[in-house]
Amino acid sequence: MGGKLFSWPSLFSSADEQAMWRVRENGDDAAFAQLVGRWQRPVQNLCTRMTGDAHRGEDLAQDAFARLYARRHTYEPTARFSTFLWRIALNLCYDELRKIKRRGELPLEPTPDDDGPAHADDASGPDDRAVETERAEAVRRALLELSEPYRVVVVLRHYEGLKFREIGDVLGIPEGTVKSRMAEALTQLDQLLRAVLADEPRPPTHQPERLFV
Amino acid sequence: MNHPTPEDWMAHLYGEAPAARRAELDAHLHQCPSCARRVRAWRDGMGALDQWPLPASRRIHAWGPALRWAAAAAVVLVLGFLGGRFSAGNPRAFQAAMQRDFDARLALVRDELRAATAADTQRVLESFAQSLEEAREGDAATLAAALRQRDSRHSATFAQLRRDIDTVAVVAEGRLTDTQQQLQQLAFATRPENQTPPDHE
Repeated sequence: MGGKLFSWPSLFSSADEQAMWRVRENGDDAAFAQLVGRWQRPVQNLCTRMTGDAHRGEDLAQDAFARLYARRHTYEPTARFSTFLWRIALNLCYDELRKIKRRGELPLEPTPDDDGPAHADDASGPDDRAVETERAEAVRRALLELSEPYRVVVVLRHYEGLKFREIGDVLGIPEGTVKSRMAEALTQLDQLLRAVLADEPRPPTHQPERLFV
Repeated sequence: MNHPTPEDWMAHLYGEAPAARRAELDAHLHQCPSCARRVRAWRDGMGALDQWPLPASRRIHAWGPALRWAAAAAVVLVLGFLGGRFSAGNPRAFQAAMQRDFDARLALVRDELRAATAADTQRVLESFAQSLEEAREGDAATLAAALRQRDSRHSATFAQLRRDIDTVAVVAEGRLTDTQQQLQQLAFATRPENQTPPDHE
């Protein structure tokens, strides 16, 4: 019954490209709201992981949609909507990271995050929670240690679930380069995190957060 | 021995290698300790990344019920309208009949939605409990792969659900407006006919 109820609308579902086209041509608010609803979380997660800061991620995601709307006339219907949106969001992240660097801030301090790490198992005790939080924090820091060209590949492939080819499109580099950056990034992450994470068996906390593109 | 490139291994680790290539890479992995070591380090890196989860789609929890209600209301209105159209006669009788029909269908849809939501939640919980159980018993490496697969299936389902719910909201809004207009037109169309005094004849 659930399947039937939720699958019939997909017959009428309009692709992101169609929605974006309506936004571009008519400034269609409903279509824009649809795009925001669908992409708000992935964009926010991207920005959070690029800057290592959940609040910045939230602000940057808002900026990204504002910029998307402001630049709607530059959207070409031949381009994938997702590529267009990822580029906008990433450029905002790069700007933000440059600002942080210029101000000499180190985005390494954990911010009290309303969301907290998404706990896979609500029944886990406070000790488990503390361990999970500590590990999430270690990963956050390790990602920030990666240089941006590596970090962006990791975030788009591992967390956002883009194919290597799509990442190449977003970044404007060959697919082979994306893969070799990924390999190098994983090597660095393994070295950075081995000491922190190797001592205990890892619980399966991986969350379904990817929006397949 | 010709070692596969890191690019090959990345495609393999992220499930993007074609099936034939995958088999070759697996075969190589079994007979090449140096590649096995490298791949293990990469897998560890991937496992480490999984330790920083972010909330997936809180929006679904926040908006889901409202959107489902909107969808239910749209369905009820459309069905009610169609039903009323065929049984149209006296506008008051029509209105009353439609009200009854509306209430009945609303109750029905509400119950169905409740059952569906409960069943879905139950299924997700069961499958998660099962994966935890397997986690304790199974071999760690095989398990990681299995979980990753299960995870991407769930992700796909969640993503589909999310897309569908979004679409329902949009479709529902459009239908609601259409139906309201049609109802108004119907009311206009039926009123003069039924309210015309008989002494004109």
